[in-house]
Amino acid sequence: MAQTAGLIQFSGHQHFRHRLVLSILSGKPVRIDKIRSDDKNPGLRDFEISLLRLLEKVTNGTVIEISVTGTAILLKPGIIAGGALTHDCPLSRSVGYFLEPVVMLAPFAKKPLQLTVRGITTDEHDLSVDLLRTVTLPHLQLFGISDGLELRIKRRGASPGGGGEVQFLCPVVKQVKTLNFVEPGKIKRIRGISHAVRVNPQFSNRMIEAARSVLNRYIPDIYLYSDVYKGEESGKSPGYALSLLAESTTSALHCSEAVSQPGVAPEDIALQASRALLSEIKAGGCVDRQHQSLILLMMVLGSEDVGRCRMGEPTARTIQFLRDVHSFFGTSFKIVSAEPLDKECVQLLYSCYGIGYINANRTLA
Amino acid sequence: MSSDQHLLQILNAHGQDFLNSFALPASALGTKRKSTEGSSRPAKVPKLQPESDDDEEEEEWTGIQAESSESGDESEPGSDFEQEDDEFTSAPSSSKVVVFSEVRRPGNSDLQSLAQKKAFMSSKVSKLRDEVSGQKLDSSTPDDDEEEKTNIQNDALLHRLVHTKLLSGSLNEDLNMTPAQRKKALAGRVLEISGQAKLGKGEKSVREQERNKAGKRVREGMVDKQKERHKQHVEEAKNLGNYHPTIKKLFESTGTSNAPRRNRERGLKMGVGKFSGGMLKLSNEEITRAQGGATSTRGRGRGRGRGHGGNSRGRH
Repeated sequence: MAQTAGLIQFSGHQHFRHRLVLSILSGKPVRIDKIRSDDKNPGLRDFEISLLRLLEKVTNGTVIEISVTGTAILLKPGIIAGGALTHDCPLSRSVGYFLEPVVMLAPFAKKPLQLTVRGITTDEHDLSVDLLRTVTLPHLQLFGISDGLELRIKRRGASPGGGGEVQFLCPVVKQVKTLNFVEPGKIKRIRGISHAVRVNPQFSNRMIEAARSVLNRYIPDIYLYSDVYKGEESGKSPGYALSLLAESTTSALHCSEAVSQPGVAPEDIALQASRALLSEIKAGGCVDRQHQSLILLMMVLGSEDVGRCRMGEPTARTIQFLRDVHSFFGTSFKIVSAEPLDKECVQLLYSCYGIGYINANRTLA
Repeated sequence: MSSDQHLLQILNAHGQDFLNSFALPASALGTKRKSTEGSSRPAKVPKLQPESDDDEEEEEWTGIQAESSESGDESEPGSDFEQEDDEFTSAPSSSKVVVFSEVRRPGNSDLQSLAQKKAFMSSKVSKLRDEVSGQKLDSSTPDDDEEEKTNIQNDALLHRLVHTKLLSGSLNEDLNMTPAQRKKALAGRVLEISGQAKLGKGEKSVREQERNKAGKRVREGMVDKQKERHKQHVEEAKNLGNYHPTIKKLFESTGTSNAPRRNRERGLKMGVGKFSGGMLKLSNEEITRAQGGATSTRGRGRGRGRGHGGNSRGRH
C-alpha cells in the first residue's frame, strides 16, 4: 500500500474540520502544518485538539500525530466505527462546532452512532442545537437518511458556563441518494424557536413578539415556539436566543439565529434574527449558506450519477471546500448560472458526478 | 357624545372615590372638602366632587352600580381602559394612554396547533416535516343518526362488493369457463367468505368434496394423478434452480401435509418401562402389575377380575 502516495498536504488552521472529514471519508492521510505558526499562541487550540479526540473516538484505527509545538498534525484515517459514545467539549466553542463534522461522518459508520456531547449548546459562532435539529438534519433526509435520525436536547447550556447536553442518533446507510434539487419554490411558512435559560421567561415572549412584528407582513403562517428550560436542565449561565427557519413549497430551508449579547434588549436580538432570515431568503436557492458544504459533500458521495442543486453564491468556505474535494476525491463541480437568460439572477446551479461511495464499514446484521 | 362625556365623568368620579378610599377616613373627608380649592385637577372633576360629597358623605360607598345603575352595561368598555392602565396617578391625564396587547388568533389553542408544535419540537427528525393533516377532532359523541347513516352506507357498500368483486370475480376473466367450472368457483368463494375454507382454497375444497363422492377407482386415480403432477412440478423447479430443501413447504399443496407428525420413537422397546440415560424407568402401575396386583381388591374386583363363566366351566 503506497501510504504516502495518497498523502495530502495543507497549511493553516482554516477549514480544519472539513479537511479532516474528507480525509476520513476518502481514506487518504492528511498532513496539516503551519497551524497558527506566527501567532502569539502557536499551534492547535484546545477545541481543535478536542475535535481530534472526538474523531478518534468515532473512528477505529485512526492514528493522529501532533508535532511537539502543535503546529502540525498528521492524520491517518481508520474506519468510522460509530456506536455509543460520549464526549465532553471544552467551553471555548459550542457543540455545534463538534457536531457538524460528526454529522458528515455518521451515516457511513459501521454501527449506528449514539453520541452524547456536553458543553455549550448555543453560541454566536456556530450553529445552535436548535438549528442543527431543525435544519441540518432535515438536509440529510434529502439523501435518504431519515429513519432513526434524532437529536435530543437533554439540557441547554449558554456560554460561558455551559452545562448543556445533547444526544445525537444517526442511522447507517449503504449509499446516499443522488440529489436533484433545482426548484427553490416560494416560502410558505416560517417557524422559530425562542429559548431563555436562567433569565426572565418573558424574554422569550418578548423576542417572539418583536420577531412577529417584522415577519407577519410577509406570510400568515408563522409559528414561533417558546422553549423554556428550568432548573437543572437550564445550564450554568444565563442567556437567550432566537432561531428562525423558513420553509419553501419545495421544502428548501433557510435559517438564521441571534444569540443574546450583554446590554442588548431581547427585542433587538429578535429583530437581528428576523432581518438575517430575510437576507438569507433573499440570497435564495434551495440550500442556505451555512449548509452548502454539507450538501455538496453528500452530492459528491452519491451514486455514480449527475447530482444537481441550485444554491446561491458560494461562501469563501465553500470555495475552499470545493478545492479540497477535488484534491481528495478528484471530483470537480460544474457551476453555471441558474437562469442564464436572466441577468439579475445570482443563483447558481451546481452539478457533479458522484463517486458512488459505498459504506463498506456497515455491519450486515 | 354628551352622554359619553357624562359617562366619562361618572367614571372619573368612580376612580377618584376609589383612590381616595385608601386615605384615612378623617383626613379623607377633609381632603374631599378641601379638594375643590387647591386642586390641579381639570375642571370636570371638581364639578362632580360637591355632588358626591353631598350624596355620600355619611354613607358607605357602594360602588358604581349605585351611582349609575341605568348605564351599568355601557361603562364596561370604559372600565377596560382604566384597568389596563397600571400607573397609579392621582390625577387622570388629559390624554388617555391605551395599552392593548395583540389579540391571540382564534384558532391558536386548538388541537391542530398543539399537534404541530409537538411535531416541530420533537427530537425525531422524521417527525419535523410531518404535516398535521386530517386532524381527528373530538369524535366522542356519535349520534344515533350518524350510526344509522354509516349502517346504511355499509349496506350499500356490501351490496356493491357482493355483486361486483366478491362472488363474481372470476366472471371478469376471459377464460370462458364452462358452467360447471363457474359453479364450482362460486361455491368455493362462498365457502371462503363464510370462513369455512381458507382464502384461496375454497374451490379446491369443493373439488375434493366432489371427488369423495366418486367411486374408489376414480378417486384413487385422481389422487395418483395429482401426486404425479406435484412430482413433475418439483422436478421442474429443481431443473430451473428454484428449489431448495428449506422451502419444501411451498411446493406442496396444503392438503397433503397435516399437523406436524410427532417424531416417532426410536430404538428397541422393552415390554415394560422406558429406558433412557442408562436407566430403566418404571412407573408405579407397571410395578404393581408385575407384582401380581398386590393391592388389588378382593372379591368383586373390577377390571381384570376373573372371568365369571367360561364355556366349559362348571362342576366337572
